[in-house]
Amino acid sequence: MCSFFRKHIKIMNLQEKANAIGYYVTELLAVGTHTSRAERNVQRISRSWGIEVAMAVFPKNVILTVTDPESGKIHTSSRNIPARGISFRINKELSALSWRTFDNKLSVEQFLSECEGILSKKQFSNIYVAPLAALANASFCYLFGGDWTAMFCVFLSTLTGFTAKIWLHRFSVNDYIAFVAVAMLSSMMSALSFPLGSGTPDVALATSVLFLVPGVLLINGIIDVVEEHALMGFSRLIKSTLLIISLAIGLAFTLSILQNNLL
Amino acid sequence: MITDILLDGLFAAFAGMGFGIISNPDRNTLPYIAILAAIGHAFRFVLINHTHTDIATASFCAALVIGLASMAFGRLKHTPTTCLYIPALLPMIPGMYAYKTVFALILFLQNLNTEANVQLMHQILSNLTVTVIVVAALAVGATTPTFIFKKLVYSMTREKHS
Repeated sequence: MCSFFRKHIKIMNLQEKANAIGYYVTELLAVGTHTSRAERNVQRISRSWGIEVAMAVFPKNVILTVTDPESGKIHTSSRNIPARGISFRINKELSALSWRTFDNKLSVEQFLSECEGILSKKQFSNIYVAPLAALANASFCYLFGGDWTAMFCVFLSTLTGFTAKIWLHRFSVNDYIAFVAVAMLSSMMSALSFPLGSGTPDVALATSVLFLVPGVLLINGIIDVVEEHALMGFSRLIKSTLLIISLAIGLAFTLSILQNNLL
Repeated sequence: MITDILLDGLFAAFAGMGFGIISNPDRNTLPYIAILAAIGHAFRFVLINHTHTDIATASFCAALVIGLASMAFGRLKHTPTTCLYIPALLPMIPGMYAYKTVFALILFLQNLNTEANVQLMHQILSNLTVTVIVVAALAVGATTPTFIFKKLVYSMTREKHS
C-alpha cells in the first residue's frame, strides 16, 4: 500500500515538473527567443530537478516528454505557444531564472512563483514607446541623408503609423492586412515633405515604413536555421518575408500615386 | 570629418534605442543598445566613406564588431547577447536600396511593353541583391561570435560566474 502511494506521488511530482517546464518554455518562445536558447534553458532546469526532458518545438506548439530516470516514469504533454509581443526583458529574466534554478536549486513552487512575477511586470507604456520609435525613425532618415524637413515628416508619419498599428492590433486585425494599411498610412503621411519643400522627399518616403521591419523575427530565423532548428527557422523567415512583402505593398500603393512627383 | 562620424554615431544611437524600445527591453540595457548601435554604424560609415569598402563587407564587419561588443555588455548586465545586438543592427538595414527596389518594380510593371523595362529590371535586380546580401551579412556578422565563443555566450545570464 505504502509503495503504491509513493509511486503515485512520484507521478504527481513528475507531472508538476512537466507542467512547470511546459509553461516556462511556451512563454519563453512566445516573447521571441530563439529555439536553442529555450532548449538550453529547459535542459538546465531539468538537470537541477533530476529529470530528463526531450522537446520537439513547432512554430505553434511544443511537445515535451519528461522522464524520471530513477523510477523510469514518463510523462508526455503538448502545449500551445501563446500569441505575445516580443519582449527582451522577459527573455532576459526567464533565462536568468533558469540559471538561478540551477545554481540555487529552486523548487517547482518557487520556480513557478518567480515565473509569474516576471511575466506580470508592466511593459513600457505606449505613451513613451510611440514618440521614441518616431524619434528613432527620424534619426534613421538622417542616416540615409534626409534633411531636417524630411526628418520632421518621418517623425510625424511614424507617430501616426505606430499608433495605428497598436489600434489595429487591439482590434485583432490580421497582421498582414495591418502591415499593408500601416505602411500605406505612414508613407502617405511622409509625403507631406513635398508641400513642405524638402530636398529629399524620396528619403522620407523610404524611411517612413522602416519601423515595421520585423528585425527580431528575421534574425531569430537566421539563428534557428544555422543552429539546425530548420523548421522553426524557416517558419520565422517565411513570416518575416511575408511581413516585409506586406510592407512593400503598402509603400507601393503610395508610390504609384506619387510617382509623377518622384520621377 | 570627425563631426560627421560623431553625428552618424549619435543618430544611430537614437535609432537603435528607439527601435530597441519597441521590443520591450530591460530599462538598464537601453544605454548599451545605444552604444552598440553608435559604434557599429559609425564604424560602417568610416569603412564605406574613408576606406571605400563595399556596403556588404562593411556591414558584415560592423555587425561583427557589434556582436563582439555585445558579449562584453551582455556579461556585464547578465543579458542575452541577442537582446542587445538585434536593435543595434536595425539602423544598418539598407532602407534606400529596398525602397529603390519597390519603386523600380512599380515602374517596371507600368512599362512592360517599352524599352525602358530592361533598364528597370536591372535596377530591380541590383537593388534587391544589395538589400538581401546586406541583411544577411548583418545577421551572420552579429551571430558569428556566438558560434566561436559558445561557452561564454551560453552562460551570459548566470549571476554567479564560476
